[in-house]
Amino acid sequence: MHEALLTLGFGIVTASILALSAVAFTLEYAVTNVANVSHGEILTVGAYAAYLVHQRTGSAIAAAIAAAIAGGLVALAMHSAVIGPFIRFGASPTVVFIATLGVSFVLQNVLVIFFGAANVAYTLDPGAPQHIGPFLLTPLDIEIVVSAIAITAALFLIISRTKFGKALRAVSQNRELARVTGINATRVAGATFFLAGLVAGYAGFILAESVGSFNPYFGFGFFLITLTAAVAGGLGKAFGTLVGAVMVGLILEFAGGYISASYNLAIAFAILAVVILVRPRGLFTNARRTVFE
Amino acid sequence: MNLGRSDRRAGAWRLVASSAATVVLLAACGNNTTSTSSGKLPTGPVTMGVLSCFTGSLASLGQAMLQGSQVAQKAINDGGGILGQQLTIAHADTQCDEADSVPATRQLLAASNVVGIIGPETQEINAVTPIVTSAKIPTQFQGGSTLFDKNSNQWLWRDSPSDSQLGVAMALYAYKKGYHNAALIFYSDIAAQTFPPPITATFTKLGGKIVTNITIAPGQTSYRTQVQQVIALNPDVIFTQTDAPTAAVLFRNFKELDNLAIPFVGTDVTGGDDFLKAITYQVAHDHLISVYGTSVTGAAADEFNKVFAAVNGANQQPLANANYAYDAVISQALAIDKANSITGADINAAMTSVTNPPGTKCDTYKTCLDLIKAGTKINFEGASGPLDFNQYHNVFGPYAAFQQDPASGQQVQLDVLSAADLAAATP
Repeated sequence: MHEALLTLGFGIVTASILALSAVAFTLEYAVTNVANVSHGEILTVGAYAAYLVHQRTGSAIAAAIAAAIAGGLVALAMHSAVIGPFIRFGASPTVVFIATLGVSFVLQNVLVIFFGAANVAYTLDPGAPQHIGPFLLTPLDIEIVVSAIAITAALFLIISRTKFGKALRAVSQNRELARVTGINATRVAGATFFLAGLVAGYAGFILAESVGSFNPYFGFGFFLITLTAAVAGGLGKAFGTLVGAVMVGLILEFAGGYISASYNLAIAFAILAVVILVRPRGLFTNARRTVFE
Repeated sequence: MNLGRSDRRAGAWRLVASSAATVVLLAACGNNTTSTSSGKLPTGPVTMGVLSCFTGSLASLGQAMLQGSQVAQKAINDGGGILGQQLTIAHADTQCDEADSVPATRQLLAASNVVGIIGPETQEINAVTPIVTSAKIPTQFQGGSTLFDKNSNQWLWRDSPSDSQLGVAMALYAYKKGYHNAALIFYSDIAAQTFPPPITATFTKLGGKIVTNITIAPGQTSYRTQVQQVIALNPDVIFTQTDAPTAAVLFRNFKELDNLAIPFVGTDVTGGDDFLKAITYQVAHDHLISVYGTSVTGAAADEFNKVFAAVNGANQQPLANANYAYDAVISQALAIDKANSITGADINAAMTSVTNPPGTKCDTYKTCLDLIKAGTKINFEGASGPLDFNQYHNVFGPYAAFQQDPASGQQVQLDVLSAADLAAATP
């Protein structure tokens, strides 16, 4: 039982990082109806920005802010330069999907040009592990979990209590109808991408902090798990995605610990396949209600 | 497209005719020999083929193989040639791909009329084996695949040690250091998965105990649960191989949960710069020993370095593993000298009589050749090691344990595990 609780604690840390990445991804999807395959690169850019700033300042807080801003700017650029124009020209979601795949490869190779393909060591001291109830967590783990909860709560407030959030939900439900009612859908989508980029950039920072090393392909690898969480919870539905992320994070950790560490990804994807078969719109979707309503 | 009966018949005749023409052509190409009672003697230059990948991501393997072969060519030709003839080297590009290695091998056999082949690597050997077996060409391939540890194909020889030998070396090193309980953490890569069986068998044979064997999927963001499981079993040492990104996470998780209290013994991959940078040089220095093949010292290695400098210039350094190809060419040449024939079967039969004890040890082609001419049984000592083939046509070590020096960024050799030590420890 004790070991299972330790695993639960480790799973919560993994799920926290995954939750931020997945919620950001699902927000991007909500306003464009396109799965942004280059989402992983927002995390990567965030990680590199944090690395550079941390090298110069030695401040983890400055690094975190830099990661978020870099992520936000890259996501805004993705929307302004690629996704937005494609949508305005009436391209199908499949075409935009492929375009974002291209953006992903371009960004990876740009990062290779600037930083090389080798791993960059990002060695922040995680601190000594402490027993927090039944869990064994380092100060870094606690920082990750607390910041993930805080950011998720902030997102909840933004989406449910602000005028921008209302517009975001309107565009998410019906872009054309939102436009008819006077909402500038393109601007709302751009702002949503910036917001999602802030969150994803920060997720890149804490992911790099957690793994201690990264390279230009680091975010792309994590994107597969992000996608799993988002699809399991309900693509475009932030609350469902959040629950999906926690579920996938825990499954990865428990499957690795109790079934086989070499098959944890396979098990996660097998569960995704079952979810898609049984609940094609995700586990936590309701046809008549959108998220946070 | 459907062919009528007459078309098919005409096609068949064309096939027969072209095959006959090919046979005549090959016979014409191969006419630089004369037959004697003792076998087939060359009447012109003797050609050996280097079959390796010269293009693609693993092109460095072929470059090293060709480089070592060219150094041997110089040593042989300066030492009197093979049966009085000069040695020439032909090469063909497998592109490190099984499908591409088939036409490359056929081209090498048909166009260059080679008497022996150096290469390929284990990536392509399965595709090449049927062709060289059919052609009865002695083939000295390289690579660590454990599938060839009990090789029964008489035409295949391997003068680079098997990965299982590396596993033996890792287990032997750890046991000699006083570690008696060990955990294994290897990632789910096919090559990495060849290590746990020989490590387990050797460590157990020596008296140690494997407390757990964990296979991890690469590229995860956390291995904390697996790390916690290993820590709970309290091993003295952890044997490992993963890719660099996985190692970064794994070492980070060990740092978090037990401050890296358990030392690691890793494979050659863990001595690579990308791996060391991922976990940081300082962590590598403090917590990791990498075990891999080491250069031997002695007259054979000195001769290799001397001839290499003559061919490539004193400022150049040999590529990694070039010495294996050098030994392969020299040993095949000596086998031809001993057999007094360039027939594959004769070369094969003479191979161990020039490489294995008992016999007078010799380190250079010329001294070995002089001994053969004097009727002395020789034991050629290679630049890469003793080059004593076992019954499966495999060789042993030597290996060494290396530790990272964080200041210079170089690996420092700590302890040598000789071929004899490895042979004794092998289950």
